[in-house]
Amino acid sequence: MTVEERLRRAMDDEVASVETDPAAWQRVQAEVARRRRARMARVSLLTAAALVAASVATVALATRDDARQVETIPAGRDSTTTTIESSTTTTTIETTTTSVATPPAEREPYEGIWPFTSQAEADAYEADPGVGMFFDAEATALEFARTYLGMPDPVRDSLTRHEDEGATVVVRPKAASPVKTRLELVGGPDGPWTVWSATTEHIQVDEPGFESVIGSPVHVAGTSLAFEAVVRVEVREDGQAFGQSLGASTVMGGGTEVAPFRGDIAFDTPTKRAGAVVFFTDSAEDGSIVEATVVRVAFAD
Amino acid sequence: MIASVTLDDAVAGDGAVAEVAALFRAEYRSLVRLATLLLGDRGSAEEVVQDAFVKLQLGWRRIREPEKAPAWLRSAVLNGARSQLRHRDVRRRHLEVVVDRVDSAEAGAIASDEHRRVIAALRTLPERQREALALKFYLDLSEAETATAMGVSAGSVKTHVHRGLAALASILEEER
Repeated sequence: MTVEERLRRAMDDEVASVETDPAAWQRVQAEVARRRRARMARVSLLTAAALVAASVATVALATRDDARQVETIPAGRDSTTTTIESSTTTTTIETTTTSVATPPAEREPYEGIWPFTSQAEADAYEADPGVGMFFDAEATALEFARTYLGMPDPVRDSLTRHEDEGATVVVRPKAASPVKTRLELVGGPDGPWTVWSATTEHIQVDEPGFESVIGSPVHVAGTSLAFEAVVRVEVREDGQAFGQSLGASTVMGGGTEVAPFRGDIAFDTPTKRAGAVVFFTDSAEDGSIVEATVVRVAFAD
Repeated sequence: MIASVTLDDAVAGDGAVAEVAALFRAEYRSLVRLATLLLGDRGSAEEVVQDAFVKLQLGWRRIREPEKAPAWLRSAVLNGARSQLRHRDVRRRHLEVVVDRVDSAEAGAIASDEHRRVIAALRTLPERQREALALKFYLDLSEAETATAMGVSAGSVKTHVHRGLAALASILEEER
């Protein structure tokens, strides 16, 4: 009998008697509900705090007899924006609350690529959000396109809010461009937004898989259609943005029609546990980035 | 507190819960057995697999291609098992905790010497070799499927399988 046959038989024997917990499904549902409740409890506290802060700001502004409130964005987070028009000026006031204690939050796996790669980073931002840009899905998407993808002057093509905590923002690299990159964001009412996926129809990536564990060199494969057939590939660790990478190379796909690409990208030893493999193409016109597909990955130990 | 909805009810429903319930029915047992092979005890294996299903259900909308969900689950179980093993290593180093293994308890009583020797040898292999062998020879996955689950190339799978089998043969031969 070969080693392979002995191994097959031994593994089958080893687990043949393993029976599963009859209440396993119920346990899964209970845990799903518990994590959702933990999240909702956190949302409720933050919402209440934001409402208080917004009320204070509104009362203060109402006392200004030369001011007329034209829009108050409903408080659903710990940062609100109120726009005031007077006869001579328009003023935007950002109201932020940071002093409310939050209950211990469930630390779920965080899939964000940018700007937040962990729940801790998102929490830190919530505590000190500055102008609060990342509480806005569209602003987050456009800043991702600029900072992470390197698009020169991205514009929003469409924005879709999903029922739970997600949003899809389709961006174009500049107003005149027909090429689109679809960004998936997670965030919702209880926290700031972060991008967890970017895809373009012209670069379909089969390898590496979403959230797979990679080591150097990482094997990449997929199909593409790009100017001069060139797809640029970069391996980035968390914290790196456009112009920074652990390793970069190019692969050749299709130039006039969709064709497969494959290659191995060597990269330096990462200092972070996770990052992304970024596939992008350049403009034939001016060499700027036109579209990208970004795959979230973890690094092997 | 345990939720009261049954798996049958969930499968008969609609939406994400029904999709996850159908996957649970199809995959749960084999994933627990896979995790048991990797971890050596059923309790930890069930925890890892249940956690994978919790994450799947909470993140269902992010699964663009539901037909790839089983592959995602396998990857999640492998990642969970790796975490468990690393956690155990740390505990062992600092607390000298001994983890009960399925082969040392009731299963051990019914296991043959041959299978215990093979499984014991399997557990001495490096993590990746052990995973590749379990995925390929227990779940009967193809090299491509194994590669997807492990997050490595098909070439790496071949290497891990080849080296793993060679190491097993060597260990078993030495014991004779």
